Amino acid sequence: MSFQGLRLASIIWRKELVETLRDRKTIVMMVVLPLLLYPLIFLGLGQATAMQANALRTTDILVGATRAVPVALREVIDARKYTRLVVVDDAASLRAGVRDGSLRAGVVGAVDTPAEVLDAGGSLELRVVFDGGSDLSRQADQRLRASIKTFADELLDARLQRMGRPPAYVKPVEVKSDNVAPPERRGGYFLGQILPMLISILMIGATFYPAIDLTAGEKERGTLQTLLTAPITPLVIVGGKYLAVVTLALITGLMNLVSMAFVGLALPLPDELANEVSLSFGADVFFLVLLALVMLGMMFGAVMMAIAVTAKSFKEAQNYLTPLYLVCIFPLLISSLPGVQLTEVSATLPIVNLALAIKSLLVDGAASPLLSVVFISTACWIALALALAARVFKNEAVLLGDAGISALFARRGGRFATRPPVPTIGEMVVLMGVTLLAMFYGTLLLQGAPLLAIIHTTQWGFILLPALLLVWALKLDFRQTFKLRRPPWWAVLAAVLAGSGSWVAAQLIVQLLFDADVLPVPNPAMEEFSRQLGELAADPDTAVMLFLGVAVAPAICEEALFRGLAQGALRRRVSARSAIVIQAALFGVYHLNVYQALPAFAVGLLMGWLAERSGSLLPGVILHALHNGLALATQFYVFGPDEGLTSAEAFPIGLALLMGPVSAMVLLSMKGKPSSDSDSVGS
Amino acid sequence: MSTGGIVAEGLTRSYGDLLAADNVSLSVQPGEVVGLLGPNGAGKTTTLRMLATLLTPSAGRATVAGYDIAAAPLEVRRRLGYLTGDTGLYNRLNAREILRFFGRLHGWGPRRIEERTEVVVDLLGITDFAQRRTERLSTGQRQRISIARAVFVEPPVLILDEPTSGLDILAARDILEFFRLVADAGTAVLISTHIMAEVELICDRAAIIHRGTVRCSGTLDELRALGGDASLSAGFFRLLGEEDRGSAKGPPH
Repeated sequence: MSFQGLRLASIIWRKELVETLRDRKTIVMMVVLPLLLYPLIFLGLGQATAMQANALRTTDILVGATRAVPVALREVIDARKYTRLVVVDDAASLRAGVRDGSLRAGVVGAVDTPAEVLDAGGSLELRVVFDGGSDLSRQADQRLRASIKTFADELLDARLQRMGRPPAYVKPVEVKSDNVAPPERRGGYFLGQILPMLISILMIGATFYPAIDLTAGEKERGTLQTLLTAPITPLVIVGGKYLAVVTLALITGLMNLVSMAFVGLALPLPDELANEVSLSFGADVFFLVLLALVMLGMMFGAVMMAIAVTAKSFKEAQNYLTPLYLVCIFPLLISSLPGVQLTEVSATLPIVNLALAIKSLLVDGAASPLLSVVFISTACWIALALALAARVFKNEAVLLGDAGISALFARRGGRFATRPPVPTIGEMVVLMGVTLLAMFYGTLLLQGAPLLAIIHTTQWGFILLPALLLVWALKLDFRQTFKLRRPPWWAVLAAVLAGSGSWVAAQLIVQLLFDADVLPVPNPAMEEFSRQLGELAADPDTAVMLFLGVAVAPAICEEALFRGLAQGALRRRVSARSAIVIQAALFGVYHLNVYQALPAFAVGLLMGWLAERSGSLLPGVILHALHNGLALATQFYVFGPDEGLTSAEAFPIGLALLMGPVSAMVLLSMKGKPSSDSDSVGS
Repeated sequence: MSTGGIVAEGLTRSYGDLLAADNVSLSVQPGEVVGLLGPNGAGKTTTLRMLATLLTPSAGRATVAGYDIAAAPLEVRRRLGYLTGDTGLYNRLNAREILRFFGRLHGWGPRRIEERTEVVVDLLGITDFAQRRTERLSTGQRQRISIARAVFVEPPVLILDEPTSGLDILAARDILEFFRLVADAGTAVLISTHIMAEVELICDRAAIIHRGTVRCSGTLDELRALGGDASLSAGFFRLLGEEDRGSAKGPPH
């Protein structure tokens, strides 16, 4: 953006700020609420909790004990403050008393002559009866257990004395902790666990309202059209509005932080924690944490705006952003898991990287070398989200018509397109959601069913059937949606060549990821799955159905959904390259398995390219069936289930097979444009 | 090619199979008010939006104030005042702030903005409520501020899309007379309406548009002559055909 562009964007920024800050609702949400809410929640709730706990501790409680409870113990219990003991004839009456609330809890002895058992050096079995649904009963239970412990300790001391043994006799080993982390590091760890999550949630909330108000809200109020006739570019409008969203988010974030800090200062730490934890940081760490927080606000603002701008009204934008809110919280949850740290990979993941960076800054008290990767990749993500938002602003159908959220993927200056007989992007996204839900809940329902039944039902019932139903319900063209046409010979040849070796490439990718410690070690459930597959492969009666389920069914069902329906829907609005990449990414994600996601993405790219070039589904089906079938056959018949492809024996064969996909790609790139009757629009 | 006003040649815009504007040609000279007359859904708004660079034409070309709408949209917007009947205003700003905002977007300096604000506020009679937030104003008052915004930077071309919708008859007449004065001062004004009386009140010429195409254009006398009884309404109905009278919502006044 030029200097003049920045100047114009700053004019819009100022106007948006003035207008938003004049709204009483905004002021209440941004300033009053945080300044009042935290003191009220933390101090008020804290005091209320303390008062309630104290009240419980000082409430007179009636407890019971059967006659089989030693007299000495009964005396200990009765001597306790606010506790009165009644002796009950038997266990049944005591239970009845606790159940009807006349007694809060009670102790039942197992033998009638406890004194004799204890004198003989034996062990006495006692049972504490309480009602887990009552606070008072739980309090009584605690008091009884404390009394029993006092009684038991005294008894033990007496026994040791009689034996002439010191107390250490029953404690041959005593463990003490020596935490080498200085108080600052412990404080950082404590803050690092909660702060990124808390601040992020606040930031998302803070961008939510302004992002909607300044985009969809302005459309609804009819002022956007006027702004669009001013001599400024869409980028300037987006830039100005974005700056306003981020500023408002940062003000809200700051207000929340200030309020929390005051509450934190006002709330004294428990003594044992206060001595061990320090919440002081160097200026450099403080500055970097602040920078990360600002970038977090910028990130959320960009994402929220890119989505909100596609909505026609405030309400519609809320419908779009509420799920996004939850989607943003998911990576935050991941980053707050113990053991999840900043790595070369996680430093590039949006949102996760910033949360982890803040965590690492607070815990280590120093900047990680990966911090620059975090900031640079975040800047790229922000630029991408803003570019999307600006692109939507150029889309007249969104600004004046009703193109909706699919405009994010629309071609530049998208028009109101005629409807070809294939699904739209929106319909495809809904179908993908339904399929995912069907796979998830269907698999849960099928738990315990034979593996072959699960495999076949998932493919035919959860993947293919919803796609067929969608095309049928919308009265679309099956042939065009699923690319049911005769492929050219070279596409079939390319499919056979690629399928003969693509599985080697896929396994190599997995092996490389393992070696780089990117993938976790397979869990027992996966090993069990692999073992079951091996059993089915070994039995000639089930081997055929297994191959049909693992090689043929996915080749038909997944190709129909991803290379047919999804890629076709995407091609209505985006370039061939984008459509291939997006469907391959969806294909990878749909495997719901970290080991298969990346290989599936890679093979998905190849199959997408094949479908685009040939205009037919069949080459992809051939490639997919060969890929899965050969991978399965090699795993169970050539090497056995426990061997991989890293052995020296397998290497030359694998290398030779890899020539297949390579020559297929050469063949594909030599063949020109896709067939002219392809279902793509504007290709 | 004219260096001022509006010249449109064969402007076409389709939404899928629907041709919202089909081969629309018209011109407006500086100092002239031209009415774009047609029933609801005739293609008036689509045509005006194309001229205002809000919509990209599917075919055809046009110049506004001498600049091509496709090649130099920013230059067009610099010289254009655009107003619709349902134009929204920033609710939490007052008239002066709104004028200042748009003045600054046009690159005007503070002094020039202040001087022009005084002139426009006085001209449109909004002095009394110029400091009040627009959310507290009546529809008529709000529309006056919208007009002030549209004419603020003294654009050589004004495009008005049903600017009197929602206004009472007196307020509407005041506003139309104001635009007549603006045109007399040399501005090219293109106004869309489905109300005959408005055309008769201020227009020099008019084009009748129906189902996306301009059926005829000319001076008001030429259009009246179409009906044979010296009334614009008669000419309008005759042109649209008796079978279309039902689709024109509400009889033209």
